[in-house]
Amino acid sequence: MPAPSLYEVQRLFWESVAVQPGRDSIAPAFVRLVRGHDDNDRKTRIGVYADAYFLRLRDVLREDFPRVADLLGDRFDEVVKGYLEAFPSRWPSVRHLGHALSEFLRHRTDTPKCLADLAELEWARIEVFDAPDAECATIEDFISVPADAWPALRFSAIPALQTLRAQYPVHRLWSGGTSLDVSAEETALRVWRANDCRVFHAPIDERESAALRKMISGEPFATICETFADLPEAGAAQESAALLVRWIEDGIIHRIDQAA
Amino acid sequence: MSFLPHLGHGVGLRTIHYPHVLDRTARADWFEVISENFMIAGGRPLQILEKARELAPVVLHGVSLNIGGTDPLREDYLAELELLIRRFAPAWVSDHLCWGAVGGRFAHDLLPLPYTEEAVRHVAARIRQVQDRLGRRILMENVSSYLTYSISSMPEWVFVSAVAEEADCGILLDVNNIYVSAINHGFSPLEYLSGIPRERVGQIHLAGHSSSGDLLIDTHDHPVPTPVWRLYREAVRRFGRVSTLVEWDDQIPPFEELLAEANRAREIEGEVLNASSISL
Repeated sequence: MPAPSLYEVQRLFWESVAVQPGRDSIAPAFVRLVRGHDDNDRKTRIGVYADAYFLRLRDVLREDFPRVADLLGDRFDEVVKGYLEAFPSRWPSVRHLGHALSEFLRHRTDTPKCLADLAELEWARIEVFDAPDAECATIEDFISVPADAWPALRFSAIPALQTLRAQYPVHRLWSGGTSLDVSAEETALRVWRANDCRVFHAPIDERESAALRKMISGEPFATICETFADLPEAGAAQESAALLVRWIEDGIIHRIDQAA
Repeated sequence: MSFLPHLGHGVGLRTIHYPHVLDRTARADWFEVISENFMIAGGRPLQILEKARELAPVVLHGVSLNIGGTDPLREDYLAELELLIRRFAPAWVSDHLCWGAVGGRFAHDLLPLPYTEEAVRHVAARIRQVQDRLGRRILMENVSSYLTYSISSMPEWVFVSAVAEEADCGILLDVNNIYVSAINHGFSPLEYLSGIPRERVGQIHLAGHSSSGDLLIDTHDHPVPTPVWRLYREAVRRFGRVSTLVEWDDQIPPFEELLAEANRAREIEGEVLNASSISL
């Protein structure tokens, strides 16, 4: 029998260690390709790689999704096995491994729905952590803006900012204990990286959510202020200013552009 | 290797060491970093690497080139590696003589190749392709292994040497990996060392390992053990003064302890080279 090609060796190797993560699927044709005293010895050697595949990637996911892992407890390993079967890593960097965990959890019927939202929050934190760098606008930048330029003022957000809309109050799950007993409650959040590289997230109310969408899409300040149009005039101005100061202090505004 | 500077005795820089980089107490001859950990758009790791470069030379060490794989080399990966090289000007670039992906799926492991003529030709051609793409010679590291193939037609050291000669690349000789594989497969580590061409060795790795049943596992979670230090002495006797690095990836000790391992390597190198010059 001719020797198998390099591709065939690697295909058999993969099937034996990764198709069903763990030691459950060692291909007999691969066992015959491995040197050893007997089949037990050969399977033990292959098993080192099978175990390493699962344990290494499980640990990566545990590090990227610490709260999902905590809340799943003993079931985390089983979820990871299913995830690795459905979404094997497609990138040279293992940093992308967890990109679809939220989607995977959303389609499962045997895990609490809130975990999909929590995974989305934890993944957003990863993405924000290594998003592109950008300078942040400061209070001083705003002080120099003439009063008549304010209505047309436009902002751009830092790249390390994401907004999420969840069906559950995932920020409470993120900072809470080990209970999954949480009621559905539509929640908007923003996730951002501060100047010192720390990653934060915070729930935002409907007004901030709408204002943030307008800011990110480049609407002028006057349009952002319309978000508060239902408030008395003085209150609207105060709320708009307070929101802007909060965004500046959090470092999520990259640049301000005055209309020519 | 004549195309590489001698950097001394360095340490693998890991996240736990970042505070020492920031307060500038990470005093090592040089740092090796995992290339893929810095293939990101921005944020803290890249800022830390900038600061590490101010303290000591940096070398990029990859784990996912998949040089022995049969999928085409990933252009997106090479482009990211090239960006890192331009930004951080590493003293050199290395990866592993193994495979890690098939059918577009990555195992994120250093998987062993069969030692065949087909594999020598295949891997050497791909190393040449990478070197042409990056415009520089790279180093390939021997990996530790827990299995070998019945179709292999040559010992590992012959395979490593043949690939390096045919690709005209350097060798990153991992002494711990030689020891681990020697125990796991029953070959002589000294025979391995004597089969590696002196002029190709540009760097040496040292690390710890652990045992699992009859096998040694390359876990990088212990100090360098005595048999590996002993083999390092033999490596210095054969290859002379070679930039050496201590890796520690799990159960990582305080930076000072890691640095002490690098200093021990320096002492051993000095002892061996002094003894050699006296005996001449």
